[in-house]
Amino acid sequence: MIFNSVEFLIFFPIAVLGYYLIPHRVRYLWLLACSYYFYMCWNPSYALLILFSTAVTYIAALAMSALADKKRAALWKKCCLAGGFILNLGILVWFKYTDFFLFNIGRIAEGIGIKWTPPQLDLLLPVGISFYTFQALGYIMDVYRGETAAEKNFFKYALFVSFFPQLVAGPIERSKNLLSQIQERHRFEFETVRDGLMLMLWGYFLKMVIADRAAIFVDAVYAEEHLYGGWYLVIATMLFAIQIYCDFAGYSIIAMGAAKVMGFRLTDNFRSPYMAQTVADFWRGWHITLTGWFRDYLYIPLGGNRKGRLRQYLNIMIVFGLSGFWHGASFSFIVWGLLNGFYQVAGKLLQPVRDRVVSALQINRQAFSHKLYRMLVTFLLVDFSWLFFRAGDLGEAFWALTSMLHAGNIHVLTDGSLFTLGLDEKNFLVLALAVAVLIFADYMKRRGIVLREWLCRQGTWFRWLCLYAAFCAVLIFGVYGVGYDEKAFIYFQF
Amino acid sequence: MLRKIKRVAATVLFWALLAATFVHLTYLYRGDLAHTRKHVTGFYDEKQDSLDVIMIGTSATFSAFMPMEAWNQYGMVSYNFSINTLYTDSIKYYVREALKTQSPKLLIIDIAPFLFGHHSYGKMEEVFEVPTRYNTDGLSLSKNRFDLINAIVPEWEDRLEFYFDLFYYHGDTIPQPVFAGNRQHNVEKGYDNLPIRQIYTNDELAERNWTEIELDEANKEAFLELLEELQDYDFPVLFISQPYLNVENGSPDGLAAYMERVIGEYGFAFLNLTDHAEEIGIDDIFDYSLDYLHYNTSSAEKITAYLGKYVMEHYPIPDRRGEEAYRSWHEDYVLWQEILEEERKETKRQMLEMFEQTTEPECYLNLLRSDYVSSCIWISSQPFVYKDEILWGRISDLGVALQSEGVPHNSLVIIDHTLNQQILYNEGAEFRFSSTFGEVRYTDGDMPELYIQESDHSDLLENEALIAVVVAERETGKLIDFIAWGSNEDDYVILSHKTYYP
Repeated sequence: MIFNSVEFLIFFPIAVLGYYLIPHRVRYLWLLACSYYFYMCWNPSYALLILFSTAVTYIAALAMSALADKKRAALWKKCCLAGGFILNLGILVWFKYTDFFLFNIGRIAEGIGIKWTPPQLDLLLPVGISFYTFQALGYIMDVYRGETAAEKNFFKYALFVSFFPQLVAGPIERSKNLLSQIQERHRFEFETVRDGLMLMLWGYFLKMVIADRAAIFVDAVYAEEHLYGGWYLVIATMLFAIQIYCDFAGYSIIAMGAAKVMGFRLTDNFRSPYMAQTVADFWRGWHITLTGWFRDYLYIPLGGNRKGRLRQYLNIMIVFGLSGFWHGASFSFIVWGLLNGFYQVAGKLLQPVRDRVVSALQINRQAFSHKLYRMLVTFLLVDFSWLFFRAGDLGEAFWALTSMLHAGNIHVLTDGSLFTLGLDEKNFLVLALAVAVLIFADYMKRRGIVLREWLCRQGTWFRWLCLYAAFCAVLIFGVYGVGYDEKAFIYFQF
Repeated sequence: MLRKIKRVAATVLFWALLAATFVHLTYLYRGDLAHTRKHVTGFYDEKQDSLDVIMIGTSATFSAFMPMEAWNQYGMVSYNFSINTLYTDSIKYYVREALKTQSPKLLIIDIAPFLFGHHSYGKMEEVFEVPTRYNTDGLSLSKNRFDLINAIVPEWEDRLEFYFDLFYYHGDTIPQPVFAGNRQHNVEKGYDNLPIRQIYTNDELAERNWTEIELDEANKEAFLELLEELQDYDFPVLFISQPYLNVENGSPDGLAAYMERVIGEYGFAFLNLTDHAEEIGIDDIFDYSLDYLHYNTSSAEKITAYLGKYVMEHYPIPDRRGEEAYRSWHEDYVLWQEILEEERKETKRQMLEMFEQTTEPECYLNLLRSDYVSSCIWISSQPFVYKDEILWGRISDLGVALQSEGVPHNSLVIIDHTLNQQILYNEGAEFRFSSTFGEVRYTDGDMPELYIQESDHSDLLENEALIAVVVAERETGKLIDFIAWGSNEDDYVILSHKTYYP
């Protein structure tokens, strides 16, 4: 069941209604049932996996907690933590990376003259496994560090792992945030519910009007990139930057909104990333919860920036390399991750040079023009890395890169060729206008202005007009229905 | 407390307006998959309780009956509430829909959906989605539509996109005025002309066989449910079967016979127009369009005249032509006449285009009987053997008597259907050639003259075993088509086919 489906539009009100009608003390059971139902709509057998992951980390946390006063507590805690990690990551590795490893071992074997055909397991990746696995692992890390108490109620903990708004594509919540809210009593508050619904509407706008529309062109070009090289690929890659942002951010915002309707506050996963001035800044605004997870549970344990500059750069590369690998079992994802790591390392290394240049040229760093320049450069760097993300494999990525560097078909920008790949002029116009709305909203967010709150302070007639306009925009211009191939959210595949 | 009440009221109003917006957008963006949405929106636009006769059926129905002609000839106020591929299990829902806003004095139901297998059969494979949408996507959003969807769309997951058909059509260009809702005035009152696409050969027509054939389970159930429901209404119901060609041993005759008996058992009337085809004046060759069960303007005018007269004679349907309340129908008739004239031209155009599409000799020669054309046939002295027959025998069906012997080589035979004459020029007779290949001219009192550009076809004209035909538009004399066949032992061979129309 995806968010932009009629099934969800029926399921969600029932879930919310049940939530507020049921007595508070058993509401979590209702939500747990809804969450498992939501997950099992993808595939009933997935429930066993998430249940296993839940049980393992629940037991590990309880064991750590119970062993806190025992002899050799530290060792036992480490064992429980390791056991939890190994079992959970083991499942993730099995489903996500087995074919990748087998394939590459086979290639290495072939390279050194050993004849061995690796088995093709073609394992189907259970949706959301990367997200809930990390969420559960984050919990046992928090328990290990003593930052949070182990949850004794198995069902409440199970709800923390499987909470349906953020189950299949994040945000990856911390136990300190979400688990504590499960204990809270949530009353029906009009403003909160309204705000949640408005968030959902905005999320649907991003996903259905922008992301899925851009995807039509992007998919058409990348499906036949040998036919549509050069400037087609340039435009498609730029549109992919918009597509992936609106797709993922749209999902996260819908998740936030859905949770908020029930009184839960999820972490904002995006903060105007394309308005960033540096790549590091970009990563402080992109998939914030994953970046935070890697920072707290990998980068800092590796030493962070506390062990000298070289070690810091190495840690950055490791973290981003693994982050890339988390996204997909392919070298192109690893390259994408490493490239982003490299940008940040290079940024740090070149900082003194940039400072000298700025000083010498007497550039006003606070000037709008300079900020715009930095924003565009950052966007171009990030978009370049998206090429590896989208291409699927390294070979295709490098082919696309070569094609773009030798692009001799600039005429396609003006002769109407771009309108022949699924998006006609009208649709490009709709896309452009929608992106303009997005840029405005992101700019406001960057300035600390929450447009929803501003709208709620306006007169009823104006507020309703805006909401109806947004509603009509999604209904009319959203990509769904006939011909829509149920584009799952991009991040579902991770 | 007051604040809470205000808030609740505002919320309810907000969602109500949102729902209304959704409904309005649905009507605005609904596409017109089969170009028959206007039949439904036109029905909704008719004034409450203004229609005396409502006809329900499928494409065979809406191409057969012209309510505006029935109005003009008999003062009958009727509406052809028919849609493309109406399923048999949809009929009762369309009856209910009609009765929401009308109180007819007569309901006419065409049994064509039963005869030609229009049923949902509980399938939702891709091929069935579009015809199913013909049934559902014109109706206003209502419980009746909801029930119809539940009846003909088997899986609940599939039904969702039918309940909310905006999900299917959003993003289409707006097909109607912004604030029209789901109603739009339809001057044709549900009638629609269909393109001509096929001419049948005699071989393809089977003998009539009225031995009863029972409907299959699904259709029988729909049929009996419909009959049961109709018994609850207090107005008469007339079941009809439009005339159709019996093509390739089709079962419609048997099904019609079965249905006629059952209809009679339930106390309803049945009129089989196939039995009266000759009386109606239906021409098997020229009065069908699309295929063997659809009609063009020519046949529709004939059927309307006959059926309208039948209804007025057998049912207490008032002649409303003098009533003030129906003044708009007079105004509509003026518009209708313009539409009809255009549609007659369209029928003629489609018929003339058939010459380009038709190459099989028997079908082609059948076309020559059309009132729109005159033709010249050039026949060589050798017999044209086709399908083990001497084709000249077929030409005799066209009213021309030819004899295999005695027709000189390179003779020109001119057939004029209006005069029913054959004019035979013997070899050596003066025959005028012109530099332009173009016209069959009729001059007053003179023989028709054929002008052929020698360089184009003279080589053909010298071939033996040849039939060549030149077709011209009767009204203007303009050339339409030229075709020439040769024959080998087993079959005919097209030697040349050149079209000059449009």
